[in-house]
Amino acid sequence: MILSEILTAFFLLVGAILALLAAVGMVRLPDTFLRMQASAKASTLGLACLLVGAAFQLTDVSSIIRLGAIAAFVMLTAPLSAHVVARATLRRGTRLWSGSVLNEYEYEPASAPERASSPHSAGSESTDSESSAPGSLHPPPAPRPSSPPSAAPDARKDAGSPQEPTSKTDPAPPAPEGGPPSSQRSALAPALAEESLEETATSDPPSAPERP
Amino acid sequence: MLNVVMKIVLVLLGVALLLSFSRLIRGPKLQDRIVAVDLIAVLTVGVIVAAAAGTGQQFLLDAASVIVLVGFLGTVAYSWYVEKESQQ
Repeated sequence: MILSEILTAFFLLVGAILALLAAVGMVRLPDTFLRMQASAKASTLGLACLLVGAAFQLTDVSSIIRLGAIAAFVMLTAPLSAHVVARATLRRGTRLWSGSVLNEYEYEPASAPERASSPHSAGSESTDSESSAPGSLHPPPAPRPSSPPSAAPDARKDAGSPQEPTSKTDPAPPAPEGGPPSSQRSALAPALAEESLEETATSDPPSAPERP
Repeated sequence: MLNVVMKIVLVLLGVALLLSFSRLIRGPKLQDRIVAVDLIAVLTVGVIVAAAAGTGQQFLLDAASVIVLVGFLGTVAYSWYVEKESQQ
């Protein structure tokens, strides 16, 4: 009796200390993988020690069978669960800890194109939309002021104020002057506006290198 | 003697549960929380087994085996869903 109690106390204490070590490693380790290996190994051994300590106290056959079943199941499933969680973590694109010295499972090249492709595709789409936005969306606002009610005062302002450097956009003001062909001119106005934008865009780069 | 050892063991396991709960709360990512839940399930089984050894109640072991099963299935299912989410 006394020997069984001593053995029970010893194994229970060892198991509890190992479980506490698993929890401490869970808190203090820096990476998901390190936390996972700490919890998987230490908690498995700690639970095994707890089960052995309980088996010294519960000497019934059914109790020992249940304890053995629990131990077998834990020792079978702890590596499985750790593996599944590690695979999910890798597939999620989680990087290793910066202090890791070996990345044996080189998943980063396989996941880097995915991660790089998605940002690149998103970036290309965004750049396409951005590049198309100044080319397609800016000309429409230019001809829209050329509509008769709003562009007439613009023409007067342009005529009255030649100081404006946007004299290249003057093709727009003559558009409202003619009634029926205004549609044609308004249709031409975007092209002219685009040409003016292109001219400004092409005239800007020479001026830019001159400044430095 | 066994009563004192049982108190010490339960205190140690309680501290371990608190530490893993802190990781569950402030885990920076989802997989850290999954690992914390897995460790919490194993620690709960350890508490139940220790209580069964201390009190001699052998019927607590059924609850322990059920928690082991549910903890493993929960971990696998949770990480499976996380993996499916990451593939999309």
